[in-house]
Amino acid sequence: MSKLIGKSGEPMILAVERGAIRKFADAVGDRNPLIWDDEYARNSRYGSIVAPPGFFGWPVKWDSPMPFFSPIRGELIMASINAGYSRIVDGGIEYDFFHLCTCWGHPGCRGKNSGYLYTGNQGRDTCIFSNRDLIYKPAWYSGSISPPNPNQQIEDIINPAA
Amino acid sequence: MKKDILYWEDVEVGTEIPSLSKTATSQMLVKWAAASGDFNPLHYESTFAENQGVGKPIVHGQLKRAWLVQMLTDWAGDEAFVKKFSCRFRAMDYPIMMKSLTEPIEERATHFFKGKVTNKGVEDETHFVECDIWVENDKGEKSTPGKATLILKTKGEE
Repeated sequence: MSKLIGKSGEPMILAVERGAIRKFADAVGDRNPLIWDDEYARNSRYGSIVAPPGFFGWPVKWDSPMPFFSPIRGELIMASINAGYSRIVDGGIEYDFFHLCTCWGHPGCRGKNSGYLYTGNQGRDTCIFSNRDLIYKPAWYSGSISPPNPNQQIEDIINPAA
Repeated sequence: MKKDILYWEDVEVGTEIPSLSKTATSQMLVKWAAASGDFNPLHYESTFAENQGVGKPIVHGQLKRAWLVQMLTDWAGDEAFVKKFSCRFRAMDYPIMMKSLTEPIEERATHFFKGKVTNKGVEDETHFVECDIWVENDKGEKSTPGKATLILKTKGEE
């Protein structure tokens, strides 16, 4: 698994368009008029609907229907399974934003390990984010003990000394 | 409706961010899956979730992350810019099932999104505030701690 450290994936293009933004906002329950009101957004200093910061981080509109099976992540999963760790849960995320992204932009997305760089309008970098995956092998899978509290199990992985 | 502008001068260290509460239902998880493209059966398939050792389908960490960001943008308004954001998923949470097309079987919030300003300053003429942010689940546990840096407008700016 250590061979994957520093490995980069292939660039991916993600279209940030109004439908995807609104589908995202609907799922989150965000009624910000910058997303839903075309005239309001047009008269704002942004001049159009913007993708809210939360939009980035879990890409939409991938070619693959299962974004977590992007090639680099697929390699990570296979390496984990081969090492005897068959489960991965999402451990967290970090962003650094550079510009807001309007819906007419067509950002490029460059994978770097499990982190991605969105390139926004006019080729400007919009944000960079990275994911943390927690990989675990349940001890009870052998059937020798009862399943523990999954929350405690996560805690044990994050802070094994605790 | 236009949102009020949150000015840097009006924020102090210790200022609490207005909390946001949400009810995570199984229906919401389906909507999030459609919007995000995350069709991991861990979030909707009971047998799979049980075999994975989490008992039953769990709320997407990234949905909690999106709600944390919403709390920040609801508070700071359209003129603010979220510069940095991070969070860690430290516990698993479970959705409430639906009893009809529009109603969950229980009417209660499952997640509370909170934050507090820990620092403010000026760097390269940019006025920023730093915040601790977190999610509390319905048991009062801090399931998702994080940090955020926002750039705010000043009263002297156009």
